[in-house]
Amino acid sequence: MRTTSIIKLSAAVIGTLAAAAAATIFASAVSPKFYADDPVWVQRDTQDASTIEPLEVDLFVDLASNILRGTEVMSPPRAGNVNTVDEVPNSSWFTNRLGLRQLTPEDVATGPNTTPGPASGGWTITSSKSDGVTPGFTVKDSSGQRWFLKFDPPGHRGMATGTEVVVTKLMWALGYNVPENHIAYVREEQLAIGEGAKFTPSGRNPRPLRRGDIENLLQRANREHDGSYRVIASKALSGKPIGRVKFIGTRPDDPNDIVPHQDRRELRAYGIFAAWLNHVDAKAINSLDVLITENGRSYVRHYLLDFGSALGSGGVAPADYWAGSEYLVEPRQVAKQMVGFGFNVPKCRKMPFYEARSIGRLPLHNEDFDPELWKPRVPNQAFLHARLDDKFWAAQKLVALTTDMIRAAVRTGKFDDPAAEDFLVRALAARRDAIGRTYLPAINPISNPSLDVDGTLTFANAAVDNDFARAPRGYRAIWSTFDNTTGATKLVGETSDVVSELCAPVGIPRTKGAFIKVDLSAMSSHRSWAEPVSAYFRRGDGEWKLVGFDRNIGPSF
Amino acid sequence: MNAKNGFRHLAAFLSIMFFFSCGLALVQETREDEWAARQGEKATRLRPYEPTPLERRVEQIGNLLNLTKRPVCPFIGSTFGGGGLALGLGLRARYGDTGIVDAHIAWSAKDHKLADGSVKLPTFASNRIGVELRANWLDAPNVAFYRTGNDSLETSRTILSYRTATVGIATRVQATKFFAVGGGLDAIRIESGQSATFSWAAAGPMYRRGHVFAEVDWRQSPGYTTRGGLYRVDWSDYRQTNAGAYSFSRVDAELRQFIPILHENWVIALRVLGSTTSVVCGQNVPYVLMPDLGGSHTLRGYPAWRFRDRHRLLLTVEYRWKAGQLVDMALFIDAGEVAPRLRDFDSRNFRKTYGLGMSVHTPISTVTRVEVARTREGTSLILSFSPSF
Repeated sequence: MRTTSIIKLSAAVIGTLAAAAAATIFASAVSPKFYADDPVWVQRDTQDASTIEPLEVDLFVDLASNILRGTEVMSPPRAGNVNTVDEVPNSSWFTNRLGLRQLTPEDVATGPNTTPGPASGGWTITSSKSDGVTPGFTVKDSSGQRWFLKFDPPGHRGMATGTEVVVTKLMWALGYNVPENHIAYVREEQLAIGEGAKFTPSGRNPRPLRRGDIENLLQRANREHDGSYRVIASKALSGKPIGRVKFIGTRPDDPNDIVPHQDRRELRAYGIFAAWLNHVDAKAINSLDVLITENGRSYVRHYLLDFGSALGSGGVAPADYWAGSEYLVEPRQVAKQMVGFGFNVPKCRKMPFYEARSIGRLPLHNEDFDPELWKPRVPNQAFLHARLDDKFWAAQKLVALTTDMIRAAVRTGKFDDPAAEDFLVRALAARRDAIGRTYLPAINPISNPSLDVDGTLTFANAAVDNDFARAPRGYRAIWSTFDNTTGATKLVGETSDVVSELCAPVGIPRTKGAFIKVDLSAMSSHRSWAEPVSAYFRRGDGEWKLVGFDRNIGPSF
Repeated sequence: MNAKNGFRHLAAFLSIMFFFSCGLALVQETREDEWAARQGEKATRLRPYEPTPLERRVEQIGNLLNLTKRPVCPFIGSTFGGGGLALGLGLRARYGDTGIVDAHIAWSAKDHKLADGSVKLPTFASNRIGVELRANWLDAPNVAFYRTGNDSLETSRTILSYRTATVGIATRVQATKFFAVGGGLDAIRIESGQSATFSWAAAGPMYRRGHVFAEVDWRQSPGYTTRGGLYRVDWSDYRQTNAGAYSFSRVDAELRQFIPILHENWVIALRVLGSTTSVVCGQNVPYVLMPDLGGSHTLRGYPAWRFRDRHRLLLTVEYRWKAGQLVDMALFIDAGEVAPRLRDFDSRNFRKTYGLGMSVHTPISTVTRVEVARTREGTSLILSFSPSF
């Protein structure tokens, strides 16, 4: 009896405390829209991930699953890793480079490289790759640094190696983690067999590597006139490889991986960049997660790699005619073509291509490139989840990449074919512009708003500023006070002008800590521009700081 | 007792709720804290990756497909043209870098029994030279027999019992990327239960066959191609080693050309196949070793071995179009003739078939081919696991 009373009493006390806490949590559930540190520009991996176990992705399972998942995506939510101003903070996935800081063509040409490449002298092979048509080796250079070597297919000097370097540089500029890739040359006699080096003949068990194996493998590589072999030397990533980036879901054993990958903006936007670069092989196998340990704490860094099947290269041959135009499996299209007796000729089978041994095969005319029609070989869930705001973000990044930067990146491919290099630069510039033309005017393109101390609001129009649309007849701003705790707004006034500079109405709060919300729309023939974007400013010490920016894109986009 | 437990549970639940909610309430002061709280919350429920139901199903399918890559695996295929689908057991073992031992036994729907084995020695001279030892035994008790000649009647079909055993060695030298030569030596024994009907069957001929070939092959892959060509000549000398008059020589020549149009959206595939046998005076060619037409690769729509004679000529034109990256469709016309003498060939006597087909393929191999072929003897459905040519 006595025991029961104590329990009852305890329950009552704890219940009261829980009720109080619930009230607290309710209050925090109605948490402020903006915190003091908004907008954050770094998303840290706060938890230790040292217990994570290596997990290899099975190529067949990954490809087949992605094919079977289909291509229909219903109402994807807003990207889950954007900050309050609709940007992607730096993280173990992505680093803001273009746009947020001044990059030069030289920066792009350098990319992720921190060394001049493999040290000269003898290279010791530690393992070799025999599957596929082109060979590959893992070597240690004379300084002990580990490199992965891949070759060009016979007759296509520069195609795979040059493409890999160029795309690596461009993806680095766009913000992704990529390995350090160099073009280097190696002679057969420079390669020594390391102790314990293994060779796995196709379909066989590994066995010790022999000299004859090297000779046989090199027969499948393009040979220079002087007898050397041009290679892409990819510096081994620091950290412990623990798996690949899957483009759907999160990794359940990584505590820091909390946003489903298909909802990560940089992975959604990767689809736009892949379209730009014709990188049709954007699959899990072509990525790498590595466990980094710093200051006694471990976290996972996510890399994209293996860009050999991009631009005009198909890796072991020029890109297929259908690369970028069709998925590997398209049941509806197959049914249509079966009964069409081949007379319903797809566009990719009719259009002209630029073909060169050095860069492979790319569509000749890229001015009319339609990124909405571009497809990787196999459906990618992150690409399919991209909404118009994600695509707008990607297009903004892309148009910040100048033609000079593209040229600098292409030069690092060392194709030694000026005509082909020139074509590649023009093609990439044309495809970049086509992407800008498609996505920047597709939604209200107002961006980068700022409010000065005098109450003058300035902003950019990403579509107009990049010459992808005509200037609107004018802009309209609806000004409101904003209660950061409740989210309530109260209309202050409305202003408009023909230029992208608007004055705040009389009556906006001036006290420190006050918030205002400005709904900005444009008067244009583009109907979507009438949908306002919302900019939120917080009053600081005599200045207004942009703390929020919402494109108000519904899930149906 | 139950009430006491109930209170305990309630207290425990409320405690957890209290501390959890307090924790959450405490970490919500900055965006960074909010992010860290989410990560911290996940850290409490970490688990190893588990495949999704879809991935598990795909894995199961993959395992099923991998059955055929195991050393001992089920065999599904054919024993002999016209024998129907055969099932059996296969053994495939690899040794060295390129050596393969491949053997299978199979039993077909038409009671054909087959035992086949080969040993591919490891290649040498930088993979340019390959040697293969081969042995097989076939017992086909009910092979369709239509008599010789291009005008043999469908109604003349009877059953032939056919048994053969072969042991041999063959070599192939890849002289250049596209050019290869080779040859071999076989010992062949042929038997038939109809020794009263066929003189060659009564003789039970045993052969020593010597053969050589030369070919230029610039197709993308023998299993599937959209361009290139194959030009090949084979010469065989069948020398009877037991008593009888059935020694002969045979030449087979074949030209295949694949012409891509509109970036391989269409492919015109052409084939000319000619075979001729020659004998010295007093010798003859046994029926079962005569050039033949019919089956899933020559004069489709007619049954295997439908036409046989001393010489044959086959022309094939296919219009292939891409239905998808892994699916091709084709309209085809085969026209061929067998004749006792070369001068008897007359295009007006050509047997013709036409039809529509679909093949599922990878970039280098044909997985399945299904065709409907129309002949003047009717319509047939063809199922094959290799390209038509």
